[in-house]
Order: sequence, then structure tokens, then C-alpha cells
Amino acid sequence: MGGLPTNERVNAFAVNPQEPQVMYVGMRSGLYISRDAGKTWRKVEGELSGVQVAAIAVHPATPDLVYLGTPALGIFKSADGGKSWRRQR
Amino acid sequence: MDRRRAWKALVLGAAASSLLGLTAPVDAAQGMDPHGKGAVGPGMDHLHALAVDPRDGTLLMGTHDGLHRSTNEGKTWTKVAPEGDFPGRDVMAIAADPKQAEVLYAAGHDLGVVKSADGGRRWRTAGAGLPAVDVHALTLDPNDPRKLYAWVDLKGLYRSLDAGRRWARVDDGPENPDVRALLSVNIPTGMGGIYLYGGTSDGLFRSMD
Repeated sequence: MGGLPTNERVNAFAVNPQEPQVMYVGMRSGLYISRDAGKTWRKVEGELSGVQVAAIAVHPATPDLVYLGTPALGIFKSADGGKSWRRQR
Repeated sequence: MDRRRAWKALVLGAAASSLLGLTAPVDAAQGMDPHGKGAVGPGMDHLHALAVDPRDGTLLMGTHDGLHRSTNEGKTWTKVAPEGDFPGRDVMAIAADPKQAEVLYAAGHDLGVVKSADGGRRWRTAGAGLPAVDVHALTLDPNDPRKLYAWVDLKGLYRSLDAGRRWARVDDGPENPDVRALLSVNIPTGMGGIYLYGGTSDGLFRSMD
């Protein structure tokens, strides 16, 4: 757990509309998730590590469904609120 | 009067995050990715906005080359030919009305603000009162979707209280004016409103709306 990088652009920001303390930030270095309204952040590792995230969409009615737009690798999908991700292809 | 004092940075703990290695190594070339830059979809190299239609799961993507639609969760894309008044192609933001899924707004470098009442097929301009068409970010209040916020590059933060019919300037926005994301978040401020978040090249800021 930690903060967000200070020297990087926030490309995208989204929240779970039903639990807005769950926040997603997309940066050039990857995806960061907070579950406490921004007090602490965790960087998502694995296939997404180091992948620029340019856009984020949270399903308005089923907010555990989250999509990421990455310029390099296309769309990633999570069906569990950001715990796991699968590249769409 | 300092019109920026109301914005607070949310980058606390950043030094700790660097010590913990949470900042990934950055390629020397801006925007390059360690996995390689691939043509994974039309306009994907310059995508800036993504929205999902809660009615059928259709994804709408905004890029420097216009709007694209996917009906298979992002595996393949079709470029959208917008009907009506869509005076640009460089889309930076898409905002969906949470209470009326067919109502969408889009904004961009050359687009101002446009609105669709049919899920993104037909559009009309919704930027009367904005000082320029270069709109980098857009959001709407989840509790009152007629209240919109737009970030106009080099001009500041603007608000509409009537679903985009008229706009008025709010303030200069965050200290770093390079705003790429705006989001009205349903977290009470304790002062009767909710927070407005702004993402910049120096991190995340928030302000009472």
C-alpha cells in the first residue's frame, strides 16, 4: 500500500458508483486501485504491470465489471472489481 | 482571489510509494510500453475515453480518430459514424447519465461538448457558453445528472446546471492545470455536497463541488 506517483499524469479516473470509496486510476505505469477513497493505493501487477492505462469504464449497474483501455494491449476486463484482469482478444 | 485554494492534492504518501517500488520503471520514450506498441484496435494508440452501456454491455471508445463501438467486450471494434451535429473527431471524454442510460455526453479537443439521447448514434452540440472547443475532461453529478462539469484547456473549470444547455465558469481548477480526467464522486463533503476529482499530470486533486 502506498500513494500515487506524483510525477505521472492521471490519464483516467473512475469509481464504483455503488461503493465510491473504490477508486481506479490509470497512469502510464499502470493501474492503481484504492478501496478507502484514496487514502492508500495498490498498483496492479501481473500482465498489467507497466502497461499504460488510458481509459477506465465501470459498469453502471454491475460495478464489479470494469474495463480498461490500454494503447498497447487493447482492452482488459475484470469481473471481480479489479482483483483479477483478463486481456480481451 | 486565489481560485485554486479549494483543490486539495491526493498524492499523499507518494514518497513512500516510490520507496516501496510501486512506481514501475518508465520507458524513456513517452507513452511507450514495455510490452510493445501494437495496433490492437482502430485508434487504440490514442484512446482517451471508455464507457459501457448498462443495457447491453456495448462499449463505446473515444479516440483521436472518433468514436468506436464494441459489442463483444472490446475484442473487436467498429468505427461509429455519428449522425447529427458532431463537429470534431478528437474525443477526450465520454460521460453517461446514470439515470437515463441512453443519454451520453462527449467532449474533445475539437469537439466542445456534444450530447446524445439515443445511446450515441445521433448527437447535438451542448457547449453553449463554453469559451473554446478544446474540452479535455467531462463529468456529471451522479445525484443530479443535469449538473455537468467540463475542463476547457487553458480556460478552466465550467459547470452546466441544465444538462449542457448553458455553461458558466467555476474556477481555475487544480494547481496543475493539465487536467485529463474529471469525476463527480458521490462521497459527501460534510458541507451538503459531494466531491469533484480532477486528474492532472501531477496526480489526483479533489474539491468540494
